[in-house]
Amino acid sequence: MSVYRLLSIVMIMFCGVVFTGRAESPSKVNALVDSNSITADEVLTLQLQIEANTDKVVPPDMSVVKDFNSSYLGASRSSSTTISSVNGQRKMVNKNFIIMDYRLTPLKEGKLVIPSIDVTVEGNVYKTEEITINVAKDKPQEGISMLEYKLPRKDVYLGETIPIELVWYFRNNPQLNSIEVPAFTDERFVVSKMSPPLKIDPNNRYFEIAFNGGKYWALQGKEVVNGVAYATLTMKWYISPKEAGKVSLDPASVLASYIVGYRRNSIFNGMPQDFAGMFRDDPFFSGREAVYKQLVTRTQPVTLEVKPLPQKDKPANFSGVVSKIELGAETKVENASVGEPINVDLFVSGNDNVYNIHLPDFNEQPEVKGNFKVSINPAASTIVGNSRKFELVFRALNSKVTAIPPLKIAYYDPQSRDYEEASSKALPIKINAAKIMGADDIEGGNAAATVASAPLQENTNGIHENVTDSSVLVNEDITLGDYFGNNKVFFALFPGCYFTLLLGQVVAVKRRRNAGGRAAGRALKLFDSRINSLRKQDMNAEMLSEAIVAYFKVRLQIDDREITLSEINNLLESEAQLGESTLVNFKKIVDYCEACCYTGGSEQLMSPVFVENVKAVITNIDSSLG
Amino acid sequence: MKRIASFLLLVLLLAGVSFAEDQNQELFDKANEEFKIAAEAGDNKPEVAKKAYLNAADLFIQIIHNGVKNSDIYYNLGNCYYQANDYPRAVLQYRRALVYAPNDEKIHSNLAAAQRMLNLQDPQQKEAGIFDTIMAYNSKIPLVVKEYFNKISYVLFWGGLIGFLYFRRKVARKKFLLMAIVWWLSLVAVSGMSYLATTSADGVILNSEVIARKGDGENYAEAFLKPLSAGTEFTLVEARGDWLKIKLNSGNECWVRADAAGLVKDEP
Repeated sequence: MSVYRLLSIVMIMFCGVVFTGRAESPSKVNALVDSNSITADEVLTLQLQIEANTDKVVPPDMSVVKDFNSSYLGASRSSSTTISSVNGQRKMVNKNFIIMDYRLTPLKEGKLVIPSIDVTVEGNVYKTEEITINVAKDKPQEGISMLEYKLPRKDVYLGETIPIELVWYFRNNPQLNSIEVPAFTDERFVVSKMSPPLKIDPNNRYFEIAFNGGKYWALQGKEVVNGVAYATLTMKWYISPKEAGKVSLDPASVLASYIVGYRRNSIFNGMPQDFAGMFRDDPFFSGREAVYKQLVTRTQPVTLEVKPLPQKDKPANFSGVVSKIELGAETKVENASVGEPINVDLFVSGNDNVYNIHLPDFNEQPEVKGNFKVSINPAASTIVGNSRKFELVFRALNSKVTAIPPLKIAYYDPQSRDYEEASSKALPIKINAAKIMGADDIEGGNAAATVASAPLQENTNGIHENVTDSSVLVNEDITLGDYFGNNKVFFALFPGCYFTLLLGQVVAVKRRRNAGGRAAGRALKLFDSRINSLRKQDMNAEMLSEAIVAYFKVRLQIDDREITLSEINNLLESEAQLGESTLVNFKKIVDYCEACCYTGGSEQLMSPVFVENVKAVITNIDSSLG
Repeated sequence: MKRIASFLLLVLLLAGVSFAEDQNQELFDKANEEFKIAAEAGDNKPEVAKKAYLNAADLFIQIIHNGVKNSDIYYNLGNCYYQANDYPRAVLQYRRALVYAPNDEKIHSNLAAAQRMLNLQDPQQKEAGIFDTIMAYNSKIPLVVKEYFNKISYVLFWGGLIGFLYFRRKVARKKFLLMAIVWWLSLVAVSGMSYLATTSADGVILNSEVIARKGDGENYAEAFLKPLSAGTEFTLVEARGDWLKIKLNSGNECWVRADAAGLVKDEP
């Protein structure tokens, strides 16, 4: 194999590895825009194409796009399949995409940047490429659309509620795409949105607009500006500044599609893009098709001068209402006992700005204090005509009162620039003393002043309250079986430990007592290993004799005293279980070994056959001894 | 493999326990809701209120059938029957509640209220024996405390026994013997309420106008000139087939059909 051929193979393998790597590469994210240069009154569509085989895609944080207002248009899925054939082998590559669309509205002119956007796919963060957009100054719209904030005045008092109108002037019957009113979410104001409007004039027409997650009503109208007739949509709501000083309202904007021209439909213009278009745009019978363009119209910024309320002559019971209001009160109750609830409806009316009214604590009013306890149900507040109705509950604290006193709310009138007081009329009522009154029946009242001084008597009729806490669900009916069954591991653990320890101790004692016996059991093994090790040396009669004596000392559990082979022979002869032939064979071994040792032949080497015979005899004796 | 099977079994058991607890909590919430609906309907809509009270009672009974028994649940059940004007059943449930909490003032108060509504001549009050008195004190100790006490004494008992095994000291032997006694006593405390509940011989006549007989059959003569009123309390003497021999507070004994009465030891 030549070097070139080898290199070629290596290159092909390398390419294969690289290709495989690309095929299994991580998700890719691309950012695309429909145009790189627009005017300030146009909008841009940003599309994020995310190559992913999963749904675990975290929507990107679009707040990094500072130069544009962005609004999410929706997401869709798409996929592509590529089939390639290499050397006759077909390869199919599937790619799945998640496509997210955003509409971007430029906030200024010049070179604006859509920065790199982080997209998280399955926990991995991928970045899009940065995109530069040229935003040119908007072309004159020839007065086809205008947007304007209208306020009665631009100097207001802190806490004053003023109406604000957003008027959109338009021509050419545009399609409204979206409205953005930053003032609606401006935390520097208390914002009261009107939905539906307080006053519905049957002669007027209203248009419902959905934005900011809510529905709002806009008044339709017509107006001539500089000799040009416009259709108008007017949204009205109320704001109340929460901080003093110069407070500017961020510009509101309207995005709408306008007809900028028409094109002729024909078969040569190509097939319609959508299915419905096949019926709408008949290619054979030529017709006109409107060409739309999306344009943004903004308001000019508006700055309010918010003045603090004068401290001079400020009443102690001033509740913060900065608007001229009127009060009215009604009740259907004519007779009541002390402590009984008396429902009173309080109507607050003003210059259709009653959304921001907050009632003071009437319990602090001198005419009320000590005579009535008043509670307000804020949830029960409703709009009735031009008024806001509050439901109050009065409870008389004594029977001396003859009327529900006039309710008073101090307010600051921006017109007269002075603090004034609105007051309702007194409502006559007859209060009866309670016959039996418990302390619980009077909320915060001086029961002792009204109720006879007799001690409280317990009513023995009726039953006590239910138990509603979780103790109701605790089972107290525990039998021994249940108890042990529920805790069987716990209860079994300790006896288990105990008996394990006990067993261990019994075994240890037994082993301690039978230590000699266990040693005897190992005697033959020791003898065999000793003989095997001696075989490797030059084993003589003396060594063999010592090995046999050592075996029997262990086997017969003979203490440390010295013993001879003859003595061992004598001991064995007294063992009844040994056969005669065994004893005779052993005697022969003893005699032979002693003969060698005592006749000066102790250095004589033992033949392997003899050693095997010795082992056989010892094994026989060992098994016979039991 | 065995380990995996054991683990799965344990998981299933725990899941079962958790499911039962969730189910009981759900039933309890529903029962409270029904009770609230009934209370709000009040006197203005008596039929609606009665239906809601009985719905709440059914839900409490389901919880009891799921194995939860204590003074509070029988007390709540009694309240449902009381508010639904079924006073005999209310008395029976309050009696059941008293088994678990013999000294509870609220239960006694509500039982007395139910007895007053029955307007019986002789609302009975049982005299407590020594065992009842001991168990009355026992009922004041929360079950969880008793269980902890029992387990601690059990551990100390085995600790003493193992100490005795190893050290063979007389002190250790005395300690573990003492702990053995404490353990057994606390076992009685843990399961005593269950014992009382299952051995209670008390009962209440639930049906109205129940004819008491001199023997365990319809062919026997009537025991009294008047039938027994619903809510009459008794002590069970003997159960024979479908008939119960009961002893009234007056000391009279008679036989009544078992389905006309409720026993404290039975489940509702």
